[in-house]
Amino acid sequence: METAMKFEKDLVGEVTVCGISGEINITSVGELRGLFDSLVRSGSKKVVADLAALEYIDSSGLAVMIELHQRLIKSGGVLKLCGLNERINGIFDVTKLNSIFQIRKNRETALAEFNKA
Amino acid sequence: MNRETEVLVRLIDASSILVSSLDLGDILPRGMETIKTLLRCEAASIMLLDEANRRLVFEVALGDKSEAVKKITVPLGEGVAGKVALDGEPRIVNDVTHEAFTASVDQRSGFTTKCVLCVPLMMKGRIIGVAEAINPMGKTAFNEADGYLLSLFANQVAMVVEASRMHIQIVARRRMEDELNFARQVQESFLPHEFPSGDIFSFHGFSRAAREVGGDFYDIFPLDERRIGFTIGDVSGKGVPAALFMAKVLGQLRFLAQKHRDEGGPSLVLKELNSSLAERHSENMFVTLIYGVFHSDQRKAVIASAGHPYPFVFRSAKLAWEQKIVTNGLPVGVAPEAEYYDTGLELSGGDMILMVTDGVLEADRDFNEKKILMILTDIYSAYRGQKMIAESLIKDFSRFINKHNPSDDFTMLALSGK
Repeated sequence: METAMKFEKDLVGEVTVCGISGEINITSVGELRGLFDSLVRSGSKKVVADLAALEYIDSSGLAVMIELHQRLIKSGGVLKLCGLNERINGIFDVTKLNSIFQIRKNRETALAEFNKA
Repeated sequence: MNRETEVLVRLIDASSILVSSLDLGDILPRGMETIKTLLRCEAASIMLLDEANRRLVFEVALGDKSEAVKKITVPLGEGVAGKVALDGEPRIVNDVTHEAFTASVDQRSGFTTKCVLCVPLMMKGRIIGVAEAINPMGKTAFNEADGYLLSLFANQVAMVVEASRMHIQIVARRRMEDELNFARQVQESFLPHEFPSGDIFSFHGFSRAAREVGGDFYDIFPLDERRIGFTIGDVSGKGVPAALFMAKVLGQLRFLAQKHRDEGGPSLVLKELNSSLAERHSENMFVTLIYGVFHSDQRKAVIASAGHPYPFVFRSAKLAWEQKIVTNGLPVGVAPEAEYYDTGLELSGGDMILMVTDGVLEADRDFNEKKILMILTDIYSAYRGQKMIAESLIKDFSRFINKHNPSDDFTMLALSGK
């Protein structure tokens, strides 16, 4: 059974934290893309995507993460990913996408970096 | 013609008009005109319910001020029509002086409403709109017989409105199916139908696009008498955009493979493919792929990988499968400056190189690389010393993956040494 995707947005100081859980697949990716779009449009610059409760991401999901990353860079922002489980970390490793994303252990580490900068 | 005959003739007229086409803009005004004549009233209308906005919208308005009336929408529960649309009860109001909403509509349209007869349009117990007759001519009030006639007409209107809506849905669905079929055809036209083989090697591949049109592909093409180019990949996304992006990737890849066949190796082909796609594409798509060249005279393949799952290799000397960890580059289309790396793979007699897309690795929740190696080992054991060639391996392995996950896309490509 597929688990539905859930998206929770939280504002910690200047940083927008998006908790994404469940599955990012071809059925949920359109919704995620819309959510990211309104995030960028609303002027968010510092974004953390907390994937600790993410169970699955397919290639179209990766494409949406890349798109968010690229749009944030263009607008002078930064995206940090955190909380990747072993399987999802493996996907970022094999695809070498770990070389373009800032991947941090957990939400606290990612937030601390933003606050230091 | 006496009244009874007139009623019968007009109802039959209206009925034949309503079933003459599915174009509501044509049949509803004509049908309503017949009923307006039959009911001998000043104005008549059909309003359909816009469920999202909870308002009635004029579909047909006949009478002196029809153009002005058409611009008005009626909130559910307001006025005579709004109330009928809310509870489904037909209403005859022969004195509208107490209806505040009707007065406000009259003010905007310039029409003077005195009497209203309004019935619901019902379809399978659902209210989809109302039909209304206004101001009887030659008498001061509508009666129950008028209400009955309008209801007979309303029942038929409800049916044709529903039929027309279903027709529109079917046409839209068919259009989408056509698009998906187109994408599937594009995709299938790129898959090779013949597999090259020679004295010391053979290729075989299999691709299944199950649920939607997938973004998987593979291709095998000769570069010259000694060398064969091969690729397997997975475009992020599905459907028509993915199929078109795939067409672009495969077209460019074949061109670059020929251009660089004598220099640089597969990594250079991927580097150029990536810079041309990453710089000029706005589809927000990327592709993971392996591109390789098999040198038949050297029993050797050289591959480069752009973020694609690692290949599995069977070594006849060890009688064992292993996963070949190659140095991956970024998927093609992500960043223009990405680097790629060549890896050489020897192919002795009985060896096999098996490349897959992630649909194979994720065919089951419990699957991981180790599990796949166990499955491949089981398949090999079943040969009991007989030669395992690319074609039979692909047949056995794809049957197994099919059984585990009949609903996702997957693709596999194998190269075996003889």
